[in-house]
Amino acid sequence: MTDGPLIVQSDKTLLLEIDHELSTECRRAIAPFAELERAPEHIHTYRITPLGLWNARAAHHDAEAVIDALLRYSRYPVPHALLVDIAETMARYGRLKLHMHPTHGLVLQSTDQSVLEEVLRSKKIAPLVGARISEDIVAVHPSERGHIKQILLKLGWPAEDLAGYVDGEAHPISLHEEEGGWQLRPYQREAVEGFWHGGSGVVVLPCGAGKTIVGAAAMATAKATTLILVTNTVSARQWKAELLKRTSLTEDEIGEYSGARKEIRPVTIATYQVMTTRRQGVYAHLELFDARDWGLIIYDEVHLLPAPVFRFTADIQARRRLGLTATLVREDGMEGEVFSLIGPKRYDAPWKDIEAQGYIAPADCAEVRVTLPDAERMAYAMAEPEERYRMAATTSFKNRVVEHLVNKHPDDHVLVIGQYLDQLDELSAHLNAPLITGATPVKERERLYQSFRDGETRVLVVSKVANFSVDLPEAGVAIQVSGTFGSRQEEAQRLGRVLRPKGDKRSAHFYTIVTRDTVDADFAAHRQRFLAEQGYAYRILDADELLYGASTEDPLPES
Amino acid sequence: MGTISKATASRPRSLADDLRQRTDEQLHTIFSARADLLHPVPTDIGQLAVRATTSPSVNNALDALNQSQLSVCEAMAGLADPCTRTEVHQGLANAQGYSQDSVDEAMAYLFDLGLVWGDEEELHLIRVAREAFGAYPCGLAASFSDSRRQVKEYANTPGLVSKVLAEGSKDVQDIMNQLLWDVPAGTMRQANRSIRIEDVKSPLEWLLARELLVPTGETSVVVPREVSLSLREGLLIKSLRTTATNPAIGFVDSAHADDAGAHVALDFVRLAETLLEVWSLEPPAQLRGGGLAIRDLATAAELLKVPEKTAALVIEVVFTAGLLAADSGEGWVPTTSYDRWLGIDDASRWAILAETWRNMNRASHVVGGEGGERINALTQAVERGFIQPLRASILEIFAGLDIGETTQAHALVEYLDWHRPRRASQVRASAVHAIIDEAATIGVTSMGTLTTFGRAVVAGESAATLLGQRLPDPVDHIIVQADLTALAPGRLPALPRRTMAVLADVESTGVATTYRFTETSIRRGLDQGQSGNDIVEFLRTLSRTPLPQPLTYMIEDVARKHGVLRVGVASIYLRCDDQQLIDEVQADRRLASLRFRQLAPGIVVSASHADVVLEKLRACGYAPVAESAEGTVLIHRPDTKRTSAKPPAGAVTISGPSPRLISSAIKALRGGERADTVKLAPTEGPRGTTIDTLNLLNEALKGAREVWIGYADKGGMASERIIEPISITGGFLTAFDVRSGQVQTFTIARITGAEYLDESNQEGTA
Repeated sequence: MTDGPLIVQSDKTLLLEIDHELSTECRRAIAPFAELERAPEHIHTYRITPLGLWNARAAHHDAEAVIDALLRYSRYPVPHALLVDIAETMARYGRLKLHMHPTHGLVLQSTDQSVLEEVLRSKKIAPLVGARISEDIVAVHPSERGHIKQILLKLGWPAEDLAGYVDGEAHPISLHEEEGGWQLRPYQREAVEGFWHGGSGVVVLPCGAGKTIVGAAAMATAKATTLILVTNTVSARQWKAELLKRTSLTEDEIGEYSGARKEIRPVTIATYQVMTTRRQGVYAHLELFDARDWGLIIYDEVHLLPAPVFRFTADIQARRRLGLTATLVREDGMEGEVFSLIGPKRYDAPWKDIEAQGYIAPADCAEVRVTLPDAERMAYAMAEPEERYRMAATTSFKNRVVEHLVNKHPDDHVLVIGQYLDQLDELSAHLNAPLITGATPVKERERLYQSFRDGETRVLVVSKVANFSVDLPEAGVAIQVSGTFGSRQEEAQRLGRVLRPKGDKRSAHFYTIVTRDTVDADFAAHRQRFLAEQGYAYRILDADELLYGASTEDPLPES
Repeated sequence: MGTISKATASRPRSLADDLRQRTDEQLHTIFSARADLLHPVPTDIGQLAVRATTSPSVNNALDALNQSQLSVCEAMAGLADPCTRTEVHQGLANAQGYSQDSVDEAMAYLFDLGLVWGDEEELHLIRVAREAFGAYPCGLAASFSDSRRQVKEYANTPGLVSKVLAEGSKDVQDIMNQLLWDVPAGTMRQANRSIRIEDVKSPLEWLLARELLVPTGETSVVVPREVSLSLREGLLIKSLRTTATNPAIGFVDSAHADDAGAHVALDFVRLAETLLEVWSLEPPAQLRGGGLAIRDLATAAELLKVPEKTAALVIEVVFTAGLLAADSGEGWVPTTSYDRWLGIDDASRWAILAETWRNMNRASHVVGGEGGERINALTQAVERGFIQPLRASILEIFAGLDIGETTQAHALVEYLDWHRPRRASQVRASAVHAIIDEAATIGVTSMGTLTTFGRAVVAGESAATLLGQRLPDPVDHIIVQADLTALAPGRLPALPRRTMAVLADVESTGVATTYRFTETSIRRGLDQGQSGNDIVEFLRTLSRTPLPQPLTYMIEDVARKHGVLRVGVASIYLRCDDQQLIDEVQADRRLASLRFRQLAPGIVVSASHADVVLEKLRACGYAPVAESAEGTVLIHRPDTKRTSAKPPAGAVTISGPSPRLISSAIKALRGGERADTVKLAPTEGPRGTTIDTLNLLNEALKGAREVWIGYADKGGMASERIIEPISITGGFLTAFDVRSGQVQTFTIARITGAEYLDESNQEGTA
């Protein structure tokens, strides 16, 4: 029995004691195959899943290395059955390979004939394959490369895709590191290398860690025409601005393909929304995928990828695909689709690691609990279930708390984020601050953001349009008053708003105002889970104490 | 082991004769190898010989033979009776794997068992054993030398058969090859006709014409024994497997295996505990036919996060260990033994479960279904008589391996198939696989070898200490984190473990346990009588790290809300706008028995019934009215009751039971009583001459008296009855059997004797 930092549980979770001297070494050893599930202050929880093990296989880690890592760092003897299971699961990856046959085109080949027999007997596989070429090779219709991978994954025999990628139309792109006076950060470089060697796949980086730059660096490596899919128009403009700043690309080379504009250029940025727009039941903009001979397709915020985009993606498996996200957690559980269609995870770094390296600002998270006034409590008790969250989340008592918090941080830029427009209107009036919602024209939005960036506007009230991909470099305080129910990724995105490193290394503040004893509190608990698991500890403050100073010491640190 | 006696002048003429000549030591050998012959103990050698040749006993003995012994036995069955020792050797000499010693040894063993008797020159295999190999032992049919001239020539001229056959077509040779080793018989139409060589039209006719095949009926033919033996060059059996395969197939580091096994053992104890803890609170129902519903098994598997097979194993083991039992009202609930079991240390707890498993005659792997039949856990259908001996022999094989040597199910099946070839079956093979899996699930084996503590279980020694040394030390602390989880980085002692299980939900289990605190789990603690401060204090003492603020906040928050709303039971309320009057009622001594309790100004409640309260209040001079659930005043008028009209029922005459029915019932009752008292009497019943018996029965018939008789049934088994004679005709007695309450017919010749019941009764009690 060693005194290692790791406890291997028979239910396939790994518990890593991070205060242990070997913990960093151990983390590095297990990160390739185990999914980080929770990273609170003392013990990090990893989980061994088939997807994780296959991700590891895709990255050329073999079962022996995995088992060795477990045995080496484990504090207690490792359950034998678990090791057997790991070896068996890992052996399933790569038994089937997709590759290009010199004469027959795309084929599925197996090193194990019985596996091939087993999958061919599946009714779902039959329509996707063509003639049996030999005992261990069967032809696959080239258009079904994505579907067959999806189904094989579901059958538990994930195929290794060795069919390669088309180079696409070459286009010179390079990074402007020297001219711009900046450098790729080490983890960004590792992420790009990880992706490029893997061919296709997903890079997981926290918000504010520079995912756009990873995208730009991937483009500079591919040196080919690129299609970038982003969540919305604002985000598209953001990407464009960033690319102009960081790369050799010029205004003319970058097109925007959105509701407003339909430009197809060597680098085209399209929104998910336009891609999933249907006209008379038909996806009207699908031809964009074929509009050019794209050499690289980048999916921003891959955890939000809508289902139809998965379907298109299944058809373009010959193109290199890079997924960018802060979290692989999907509220809809489609992680398996991401694995088989975008690709395995190629790089992952926990938030706290990057924070420790100084690339994202440390954050102080607090939950402020307010009590519903008696009259509202009555109304709440009688409200219809679907009305309850809105009612609890928009209590006017929150306005006073927000005001107090805004005054608490006189030198910081403050974002007030919420879900409900009437509440935001009210807050905007109460704080005398401008409001940005989905209805705000894009031009006006950009003007307001710019003014916020320039320091003319100190407080901005925003709806969920600001959740994603809006670069607000100097926001130091975010106050969340309501949200999309219990969405964990929304919480993470919103925290990301304040995590860009600050010039003076001060820490960011993230407040979420919650109405106690209502569904608002329940949802908040759910939303916070992801961040708490990432090591962000929420302090809980009482609004009354905050406002009236019932406690002797001030519960808020001065910023 | 003895040897077969040399030929002597006093050659035995029968098995009995042979057995008489055997020494005490030899008889001891028979009895120790064939225990069934001892039950009951035979009275003389003649009886022993009869018993030793009955089909069940012989088949039992054959079942216990190994492959080598069984082959030799078959070879003897294939030879004519009697045969000589030399003939057996000749018939096997060319077989693959033949060795003189092993054949001699096998023959001697068969002799020792009494399956074979005689001497070297004249060996007899007993008939039942011969028949056990079917119609064609060694694939040989009967001899036809005496009836067929050509066959006789084949027998006398070595090599002739091959020579004749060589002239035949390929089809002919294929047919003969097929009939050579397995079943030497076939069917054809009109087999029974004479065919001349010139008229041959088919390969079968070709063979028949040359008497290489001989008809045995209208449509059946066989290869004469002489032909087969000539083609086989005298060989009876193709190959002899004289030694067993080696079950050892690998090697592991035994210390490693022990460590891994200890982990598994601890897991198994934990599974049992988790299951029984949950069933303590929510016991699953017992099915009407006994047992546990399939659905409950699935729920248990889900709870334990294990496959259903494992859940079934856990359930069956805890049941057999007496930790779980059916309670008629509650369903399947843990027993008081479970509490004792909880109180001892993990290693001892495991030892109890492992020993139970070793001894249990239940086959948990059949739970769910076997061969289309649905089998529920915890029913009698899970019992399998063969499973415990099979488990014991498997564990014995394991114990026979060197430390660290491993084996696997398929090697064990092969090994067992050699040792007990007649018992080989799919059922046994799947049971072997199941037993191996179970052993590994419990931790008796690990990585294919016995763990040191498993070895102790097999040997019946104390395993707890050995396991205890391997178990990680219990930990005395937890680590609480800001995401409202806590980790016990090892095994907590029983008390904090139970408290933690109340205060938090278990998220992940194994050596360590992760807990998650939720509002519900904290509330559970509060519901069980702990205060918020108690909980915080308990966690603070147990935690090695400071308690994170969100947790203490949550506990205080839940505690603050806890118990603000109160729920109680009251049967009635009394409400009145005049508080003065309420006070008066409460103070009224005459109403003290109603035990009013004030909830709020103007409202008191009581557990008494509304009618009682109304009546008492009125009696004391108050003027209350009743209120409906909606708060309206209920006007009380005595209801005159009516029902809906029904058509008049037809007149029914009620007749009493017939006198005969009553007397029979009484007889049956009395009979039952008396039967009890007669238990003291000797059970074989009285004995006497037929004349006496007949006289007594006739007398009893007239006097309608009860008689005690001895009676021998068709099989010669003696019994005794209490009867009341009804009639005697033509050698048969018709009588009322008092004990069974039925009228029965007895053959007078088989009545061994008769006595009046009252007399015999006196005798019996005297």
